[in-house]
Amino acid sequence: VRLSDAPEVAAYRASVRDWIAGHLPGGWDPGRALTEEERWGWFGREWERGLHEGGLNGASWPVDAGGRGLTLDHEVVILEEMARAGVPESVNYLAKTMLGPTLMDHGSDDQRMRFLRGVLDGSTMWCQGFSEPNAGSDLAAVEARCKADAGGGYRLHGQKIWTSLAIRADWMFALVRSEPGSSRHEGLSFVLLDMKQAGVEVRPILQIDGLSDFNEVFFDGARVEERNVVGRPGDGWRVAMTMLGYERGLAHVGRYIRFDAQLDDLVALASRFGVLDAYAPRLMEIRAEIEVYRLATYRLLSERVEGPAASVVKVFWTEMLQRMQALAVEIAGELALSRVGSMPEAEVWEGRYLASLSRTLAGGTSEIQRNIIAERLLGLPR
Amino acid sequence: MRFAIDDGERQASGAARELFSALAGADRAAIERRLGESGWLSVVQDAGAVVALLVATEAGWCGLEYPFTEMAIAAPAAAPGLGVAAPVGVAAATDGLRGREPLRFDHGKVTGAAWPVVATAGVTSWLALAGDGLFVVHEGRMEPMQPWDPSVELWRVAFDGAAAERLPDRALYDLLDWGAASAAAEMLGAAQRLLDMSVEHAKHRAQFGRPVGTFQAVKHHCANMHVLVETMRASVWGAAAALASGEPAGKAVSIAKSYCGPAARRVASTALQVHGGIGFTWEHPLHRHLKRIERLAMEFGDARWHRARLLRALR
Repeated sequence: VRLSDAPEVAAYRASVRDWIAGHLPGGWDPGRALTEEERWGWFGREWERGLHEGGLNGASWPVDAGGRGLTLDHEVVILEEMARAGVPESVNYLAKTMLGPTLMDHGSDDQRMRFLRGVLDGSTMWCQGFSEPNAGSDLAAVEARCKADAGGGYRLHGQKIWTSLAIRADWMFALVRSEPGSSRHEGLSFVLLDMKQAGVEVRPILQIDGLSDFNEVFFDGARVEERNVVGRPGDGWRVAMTMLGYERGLAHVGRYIRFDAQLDDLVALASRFGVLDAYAPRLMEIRAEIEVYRLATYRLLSERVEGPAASVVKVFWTEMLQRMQALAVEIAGELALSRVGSMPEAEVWEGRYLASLSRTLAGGTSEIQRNIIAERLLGLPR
Repeated sequence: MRFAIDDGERQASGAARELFSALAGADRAAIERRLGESGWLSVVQDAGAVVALLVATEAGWCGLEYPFTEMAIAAPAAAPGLGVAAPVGVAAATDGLRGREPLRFDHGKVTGAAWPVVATAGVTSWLALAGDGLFVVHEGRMEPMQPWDPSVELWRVAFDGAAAERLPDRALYDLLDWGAASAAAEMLGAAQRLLDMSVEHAKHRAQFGRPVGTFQAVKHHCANMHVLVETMRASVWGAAAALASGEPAGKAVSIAKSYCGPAARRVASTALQVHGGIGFTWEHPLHRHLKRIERLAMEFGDARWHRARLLRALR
């Protein structure tokens, strides 16, 4: 059990920190909330391209896949230093942490050749088409139909929902039903499709927090090229499960640093409002839990455990975040009632609280996670 | 960064479970003698923080009837020279006085009484907290008290002007940090044991013609316990890594102790709920682990104390 960076990783951390400081826009304020345009525009394109040129995208990918062949520790360092500098979460994180590794496992040489570079240099933004109106917790109930087209390739009909990033994405990776009459895990295919084509319609969902992070995506004969099926047709479930394996781990890295920064703001706010003594025990309870989240993430990464262990961390951090944001609203008090007014440092919390409520739903509800823990880790009977 | 147990650490942990399991049901004096034999405890103490806390976790899992945290970890960490041959107890209210009088140090002597103190009957030397100093005292009058936790003996220790020797200031921090970290580790072990027992019970206890573990309400109780146990483990390993690094470990220890106390108590009450009525009987072993957790949640600073320390670290 060792937490400190090995000497070469510590040196790498210092160089990454310098790189970030040298490439952020002048007058960068890590505390300032970004507009959507800044996040998607400058950070989506220029910053991603810069990361690629600086060797910070795909650091742990093999060299022949366009990466730098470094270790997971180096990847952790990059994500942590980004978070420390207040750089927003990458808009292409799904592609970088999930699609890339999945293509390395299951993709054809041609797919790797055509898609990996665009993931690394930020020229192709990706979204994930898994959930459907009738396939939420029960992913194997996917219904979107992919039919062979007379002119070659496939045509896609149906609907995806809760699709983050869809409105901006250039491409989608999706789990679809390719064998008519098949059910459950059989007859599914994992496909890649161009979002900027006729037959794909994206409708943003207006959420309770006033934002539209999620979308509906409708397919009406959208084209899927034959060469863009990942793995064997009909074997999509296995590919999707490989991908969900990659969802664990790195997605957590850096989040605890952002939460810690929020907690610092909250301590300052409570102090300024003269209520720190009353809230200190609960604030420090959250501080300890954020640190536990960091340690649990390190353990997940160090042990490289398969599947269900990730459910433990998912349940823990999402519920912890909700407790933190609920506490924040209490501390802000009546000032949390206005969406925009005159004191942003107090008014920002209600929106964050509302947003946190989606976290125990997205990516597998807490109930599903608990079933997985009980049945697959503890061996309780079904 | 390698936040995982290596083979050597796993072996030490397995050996401890074997030894402690063999001592189940033995009489107290025999347990103390066996632990002192062939320098076993000193080996654990010399093996560093990670092994020490893994072994403490096993003491908790096995329900070892010995004050492992107090006498095998905390006291030797604070006063390494005193050794195991002459058992050393800890007479220090770490959680504020709460109606008790502090021990007094005056003209080289300690006077007053400390209680409740967890120690074995054979203790011959004490680490006594008087004022803001930690003292070694070789004479204390032990009057038995009735503990809730049946795995330990509890005392009121009176010092009648006993000659005392002041330890260096850092001894008090070592006592608290190692004691709190080890208490967290023992609670982790006890919580793991309660989870194991609950899962076994849920698999075999049938009602309505099926194991109760098939009901989602029961499954989710068990899943909640598992989440608590595994996050407790992360916090204990974090404290171990910090203590092993030689850097100040107070923050990591306070995180572990303030997290593990309330978490272990939730595991314990959930375990009782999963067991149903049988878990409320004295005959069933569940209450022994529950009461060990109740005790260790208080010792070496409760959650409130450690959260206050975390806040002070911010200022």
